[in-house]
Amino acid sequence: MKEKTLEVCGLTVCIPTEKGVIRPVNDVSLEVPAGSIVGIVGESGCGKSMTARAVMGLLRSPAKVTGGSVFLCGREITSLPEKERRNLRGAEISMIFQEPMTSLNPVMKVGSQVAEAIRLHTACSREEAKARTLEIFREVEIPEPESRFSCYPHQLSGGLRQRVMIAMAMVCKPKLLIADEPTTALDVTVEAQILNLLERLRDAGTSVLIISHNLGVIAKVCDYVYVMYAGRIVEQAETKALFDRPEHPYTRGLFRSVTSLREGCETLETIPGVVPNLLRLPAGCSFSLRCGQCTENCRQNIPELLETEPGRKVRCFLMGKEGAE
Amino acid sequence: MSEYLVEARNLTKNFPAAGRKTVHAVSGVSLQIREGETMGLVGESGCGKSTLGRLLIRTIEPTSGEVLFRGQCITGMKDSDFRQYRRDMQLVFQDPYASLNPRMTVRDLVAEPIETWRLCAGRKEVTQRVLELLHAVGVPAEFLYRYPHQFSGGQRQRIGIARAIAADPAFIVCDEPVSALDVSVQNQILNLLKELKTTRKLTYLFISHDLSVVRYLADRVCVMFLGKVCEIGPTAEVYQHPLHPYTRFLLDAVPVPDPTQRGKEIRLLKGEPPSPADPPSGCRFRTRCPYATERCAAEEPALRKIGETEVACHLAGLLTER
Amino acid sequence: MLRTKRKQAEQVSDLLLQSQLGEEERFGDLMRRMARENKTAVISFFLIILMILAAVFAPYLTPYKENDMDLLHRLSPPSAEHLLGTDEGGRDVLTRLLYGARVSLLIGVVPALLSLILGAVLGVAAGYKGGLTDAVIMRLADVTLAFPSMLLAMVIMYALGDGILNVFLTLTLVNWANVARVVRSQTLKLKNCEFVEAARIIGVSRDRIMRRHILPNCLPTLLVMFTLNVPASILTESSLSFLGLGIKPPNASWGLMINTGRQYLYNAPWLCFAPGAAIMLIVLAFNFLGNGLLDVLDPRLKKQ
Repeated sequence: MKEKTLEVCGLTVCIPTEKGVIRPVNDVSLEVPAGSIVGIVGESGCGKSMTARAVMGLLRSPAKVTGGSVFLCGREITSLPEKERRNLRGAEISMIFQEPMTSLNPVMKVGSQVAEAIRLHTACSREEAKARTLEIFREVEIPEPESRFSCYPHQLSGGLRQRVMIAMAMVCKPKLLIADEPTTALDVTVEAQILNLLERLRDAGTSVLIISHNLGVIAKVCDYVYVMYAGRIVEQAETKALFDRPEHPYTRGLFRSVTSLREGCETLETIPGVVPNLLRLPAGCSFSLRCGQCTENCRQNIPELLETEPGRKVRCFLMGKEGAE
Repeated sequence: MSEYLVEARNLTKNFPAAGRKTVHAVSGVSLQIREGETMGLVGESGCGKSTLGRLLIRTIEPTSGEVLFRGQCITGMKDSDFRQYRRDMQLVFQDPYASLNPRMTVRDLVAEPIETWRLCAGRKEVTQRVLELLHAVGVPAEFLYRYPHQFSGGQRQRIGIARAIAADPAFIVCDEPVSALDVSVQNQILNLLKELKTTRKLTYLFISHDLSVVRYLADRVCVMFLGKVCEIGPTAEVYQHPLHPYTRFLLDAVPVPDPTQRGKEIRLLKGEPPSPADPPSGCRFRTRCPYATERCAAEEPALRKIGETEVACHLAGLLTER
Repeated sequence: MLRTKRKQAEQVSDLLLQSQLGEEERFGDLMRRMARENKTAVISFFLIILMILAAVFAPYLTPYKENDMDLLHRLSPPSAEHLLGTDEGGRDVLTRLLYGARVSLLIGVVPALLSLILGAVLGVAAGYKGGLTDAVIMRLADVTLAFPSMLLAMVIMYALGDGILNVFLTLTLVNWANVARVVRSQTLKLKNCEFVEAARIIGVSRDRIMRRHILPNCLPTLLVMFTLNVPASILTESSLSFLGLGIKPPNASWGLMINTGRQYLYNAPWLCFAPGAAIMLIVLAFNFLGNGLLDVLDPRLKKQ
């Protein structure tokens, strides 16, 4: 049994609003085995970023974890006091975000920021921190690390800034790195380099949880994929299996959309409608309003996440059946 | 009467930057767009595609060079003379929220071009026309008096498109119109744009960094790098037989949603993107190009025709393997 | 084939949109929402209305006249006959408070409004047109702001002479520059916004852009400035009246009442407390109301 770096069981996040309680993360269970890259894919508002934040313990009030647990290398972390969680952050579990410009302090040199992160978690002198920073810069392939050390964020390109973010996240060689849309704001040529870097980090012993809406990114680096919709996981499978034969109607819709674009069909495939407002979710399956194969059962009841074959789960009453187009 | 609807001749645009530097956003770009075609414009950030789009519809003035519309030079024209052309050239923005005045209702937003150009008499007629436009773009009539923030990204983009076509323009620049949208919504908008093009006889300049989107819509595609045109030709030709090294890298780098292609060795660009304030001498791509020669540093390549494509590279046609 | 597919998609789309979009908000809804969310603003609103009504109906609310002197009963504490006591001339404080409300409210609101309009128009013109217009207007504003406001007010009042209209004019001229500066900086920011660029591309005239796109988006800021200018005007006026340049005794204004009552602070504190409390109430009321309006008026500040 492969060791699990991260295990999330039935995680639920609630946000009370004046119009009712919404659950952007609803009974989500996933795992990241050691030495692998796992992806969460979904469109905006599906709850993937919120899941990541919940795992990191970075939820902003009034959002709260109201159910489930998170295990990091076998150790339960949601019940830990804030002080201990803070120690874990950066040291054992790290996160990088979509827009590095807003994550970096604009008035502080990038080298100093990384050095500060080092000194936060390990007791060492300023010189030692600087040396370690340069070492990490070399590991994440920042060219001319010495001169880049004294640069401000705005003086660096988007790709370099993201590398600095990764450097900061990797300072203490965490067991898990969560990457929330790490390449969305980057050019395609830079994206390729960053994804390459993430793969090398995985080979060096850090497991990666990557969140993206881009199926190409997921296909490129992930070993296992979770598909989220309206706060729930609707399908999960090994990457090859998922791309070979998606089962959930939503996943199929997504794939058809992307494929029809790549193949240049006369009219592009779409998924009709929009993502539902979490305040007004349908009574049954969350996807029922947009699903071409929806039945009465689907409208009334919420399907369970069930295993259709080893290593694969789908949340759909009609799973496995080939629906008519 | 010119055979081209829009033509750019040696356009250059420089912006002053901090520290007495100049950003060479667009340098000596020449381009022709025929009526009824969709020209795709691709490139990464800093290549000048947005600037070029805006130069073509004369919302910014070039530092040098000319823009012609229907054979008439519109650069340097007096504002009062240019006004008649303003209606024919419109823009669809990338950010569906920022491009709509948050304090205006949908009705007023879409009515603005109609009222500006006095296309209808009386408020009722204007509202009627707005409803027709909203129907054409797929926004339900009930939402006539709502505000932009009450809509999703895809719907806001539809409103933006309705506004752009309201005065019956001939030429529309679409500046990354689907980049901010989810993939399923993106396809809806692309379908809409394609449909509108046929029903309203539009000509598009479609700017995007997403190569698959451009491939779908564009008849011809133009690849830019650091303010210069690298390659320009029929879409199918450019995508299947890219001649410029940068085009090849661009096509290779796009992550393919197909895990079986994962092991494929792709070459990555070397080095860091050069700054538009300090472009390399000669060919601007040479600092990142693995095939660069001495000639590339000394002499800037001019656009030359190879088959149906025009390419600006000394080595184009000579490179065989990727 | 394309048509039917689109129609299907449209129908589904309609259903979805209906199920998911928020309620439309007309003016009535906005006010109701403010009433729900911000009780203080509502209280303030009614307080202001109350004060305005009290000021308007002053003659009916009190048996005394504004300047009825009664030297036998000067400086008497609050009693059944004189609910807030009498001042140094034996005049009923409550009566003077009510009549003074007229003056103070007018002095507060009218110049604040006028300076807002003047400042906004000039500020937008300066910010949007730039060039010579900007230079001229900003230099004028700089000159205005170079003088301490009291000094400037005094000079203008001295030049213009007495009378309430002159007070209005003075206060307007003193306050417009600040508004213009703030509106100009907002305009400069808004000028670069995409929706303004969109309007230019559509072909909207410069004047219309300033009117429809820039000014309405300055509204929240203008509202805040208004709520700040009202009490500022009231206070400036009271100083002017004290110096003999504004409202002259024996007419009443709250500021004047405080200033004359200062001498009797220890033996007849009600002379200061009454108008002081009134000024405090009106300042707070305008502030809370301003904040309440700010929250509901800006669509983007709405809580999701």
